[in-house]
Amino acid sequence: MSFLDIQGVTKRYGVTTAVDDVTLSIEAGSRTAIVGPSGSGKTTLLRLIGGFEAPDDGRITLNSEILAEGLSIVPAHRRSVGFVTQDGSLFPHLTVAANIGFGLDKRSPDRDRRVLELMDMVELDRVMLHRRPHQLSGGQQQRVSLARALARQPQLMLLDEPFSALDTGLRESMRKVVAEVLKRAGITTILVTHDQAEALSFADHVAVMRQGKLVQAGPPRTLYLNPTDPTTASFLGDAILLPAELGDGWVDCAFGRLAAKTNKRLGSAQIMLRPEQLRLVTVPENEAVKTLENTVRYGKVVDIEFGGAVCTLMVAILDNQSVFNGGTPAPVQIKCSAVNLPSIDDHVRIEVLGEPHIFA
Amino acid sequence: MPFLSVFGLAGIVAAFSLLPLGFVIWVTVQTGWDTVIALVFRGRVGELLINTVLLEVWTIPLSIILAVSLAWLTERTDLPGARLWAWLAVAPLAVPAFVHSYAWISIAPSLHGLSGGVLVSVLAYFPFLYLPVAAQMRRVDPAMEDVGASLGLGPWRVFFRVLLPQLRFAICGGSLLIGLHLLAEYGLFVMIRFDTFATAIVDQFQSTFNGPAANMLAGVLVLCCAGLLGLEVLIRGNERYARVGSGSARPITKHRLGWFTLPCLLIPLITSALALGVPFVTLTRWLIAGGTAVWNLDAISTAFSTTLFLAVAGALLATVAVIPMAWLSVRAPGRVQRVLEACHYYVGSLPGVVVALALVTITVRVVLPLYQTAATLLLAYALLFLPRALVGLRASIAQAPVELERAAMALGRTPAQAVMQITMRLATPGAAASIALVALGITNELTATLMLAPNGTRTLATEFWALTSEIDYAAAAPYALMMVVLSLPLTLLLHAQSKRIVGR
Repeated sequence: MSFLDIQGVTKRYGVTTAVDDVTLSIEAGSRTAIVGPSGSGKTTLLRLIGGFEAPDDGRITLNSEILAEGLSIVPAHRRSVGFVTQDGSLFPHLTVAANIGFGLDKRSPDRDRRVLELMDMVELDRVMLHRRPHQLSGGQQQRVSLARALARQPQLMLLDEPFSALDTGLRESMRKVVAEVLKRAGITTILVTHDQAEALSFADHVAVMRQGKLVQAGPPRTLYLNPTDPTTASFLGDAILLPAELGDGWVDCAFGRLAAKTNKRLGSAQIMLRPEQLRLVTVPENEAVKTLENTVRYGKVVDIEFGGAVCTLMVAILDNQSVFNGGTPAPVQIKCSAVNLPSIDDHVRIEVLGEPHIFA
Repeated sequence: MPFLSVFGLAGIVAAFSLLPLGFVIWVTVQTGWDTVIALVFRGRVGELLINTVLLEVWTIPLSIILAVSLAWLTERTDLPGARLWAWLAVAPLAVPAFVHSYAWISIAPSLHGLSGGVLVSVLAYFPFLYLPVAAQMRRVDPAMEDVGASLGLGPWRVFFRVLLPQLRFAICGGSLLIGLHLLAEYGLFVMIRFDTFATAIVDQFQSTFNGPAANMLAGVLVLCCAGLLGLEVLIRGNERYARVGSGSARPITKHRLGWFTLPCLLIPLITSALALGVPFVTLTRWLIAGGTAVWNLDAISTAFSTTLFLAVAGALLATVAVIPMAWLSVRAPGRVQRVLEACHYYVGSLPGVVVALALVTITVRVVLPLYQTAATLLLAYALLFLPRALVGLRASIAQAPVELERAAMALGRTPAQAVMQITMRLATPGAAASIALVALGITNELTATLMLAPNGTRTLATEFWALTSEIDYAAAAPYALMMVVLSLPLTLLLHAQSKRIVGR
């Protein structure tokens, strides 16, 4: 039995099913991200784990203790669960010190020492001790919020989109700090976010939710490279989705014949390539037009969106053999760096790195 | 510099609003130190002071408990019919305070003194606390309570340690309003036979007209008001209680009452029965007992139209008077503006008796032709309701961003045209609402009207008062009914407005 077990949990609000029969297990000390578009039920699932809502059906156990079984639940204040919200939810009537010490016993003699310890832990300057929440920046508020949640040494930490209210730069550094602090404290963490990049970089385990259902769960790399369906693929990052014909150890697609693990499947299927798997090499026009073989593809750059480190190119594939698409195929979006960037109307050779993912 | 002329206009209004305070100071100097001491430090003043303090320390805490419980039940729980109870918790405002006491002494003639005064005051004034507290409860981010629970606090401790502290502003503001009303109210306490400064001043005024005794009591009353304002500032402090951080708040999760639903229903039920049922039953009883005989249509329609005229004229005067200040405080805030604004605000916290006494003295001694004219009465109304008009107008001007004015100017309008065509146009609905609220106040105003109204001017309030003074309760009932009917839509407006402020 794993550390946190969610079994067949369902939560309905009237006719809408916010969380639909979700089963998920989370290992002790792990960092899990629940990711999904807004309205996918991820926050509701988090609130069920936190004890702020009761599930209509299903069971949640933490460390072999049953937290919820159907409508009977252990209320939030009796669970050893920390909670950090989107904007920190600091108590505006209390100072930073009082906020951090809020969950600690008031009579405890080492309360002040513990508050200072926690401030150091989240790398918050001690001069902030007697400030009020509105005198802090967004990042500082989140640090206080994290320290406050850590004070009671919870078994499980729930983060409800804690970085989404921060600026882009700050968001990344906060993510690192939070991940580092929680790792050192050894606290099992669940992060809810709609930002797939955040989920992939923060967690060692990612669960994708859509319309109340858990679509796929696993390590970030697996999910990114082997998503179960095209929607998940597109959600987790830019994806090039193509029809293909499967062969023995290869697929035929708009990019020519590519090596792939077909597992003895034959016939047509949909495949996915990540844009970063494609590399462009500028070639003279005559090379592109003359050597149209089945294994190499050439293309013509029709549009460039310059973006510094990541530039987006639209490339029309020169495809006179027309493997699948009769007529002129739609240009493919390809990402590449500003180094050796082709110009519009340049001819390019398209090289595919790694293997395509074949959808079931 | 168009600012200067606006400044000038706001300055004139501010000067007018300083009249009552100036009067108190001037009269104190005039009377002479020895007489002042003799008039102020005497047993009678001590008695009144004790009465006032007792009234405040009983009424305000009881109102807080009642209003906070009702607000919590209607806003944060799954109490059946919560919306209905919310309306019913505001509705007592439609019944003027002196009609409340009229209803109570009809039902319990032996009711009198402190206990009676406290009972009727709580029932008549608790909505002043309910409105801001309920609004604040809707505004407090529910995630705070979740966090409180995740930090190991049970529901009760979450309420006291997380929710209640965030209601402090609302509770302070509402308590101040009730406290000031208790100081100013005359009719309610006369009927319930409880002496306060306001009743004593009117008594003195009626027996010796404009004697130093009444003036000195007014001075002490102004000091009481100042004390109350200072106390509120002290308790409230200058902390910020607004929601920190961004992001949209999650909708509020309602607490499940479960088995407590029935006992909890008793709170709004009993409150409504006492605050609305009693006036309703009494009025119905007197109307039935009086039959058609009490419907002296001529007198009633005269009083009705006079009241309507005074209310609308006074409300328009007050609103027009605050336009310069409202515009300044939104478009060009600054230190001088804050001082001018404070002048506009303080005058509304003065009891009607003080303003009336000041205007009586000033007209009699300086501009006799204006004594006992409608003009003076309207001036008194405008002064008394200046803050009400200012709050409403300022909020609605603030809704029209300055960028719109600039855009209009960029499209070829002069600054004046831009203000009139854009800002004032956008401010109209808000201004109309604040005119209505001032009119509501004037409709139910009794003290200043009694003291200042020209001879023969009969309003609903004064006519009601005259008839109850003759113990003709049945004949007074139609007037009470008219006042309630006039006030009801305005009270509903007030409720709707308090909800819109928090964006619902």
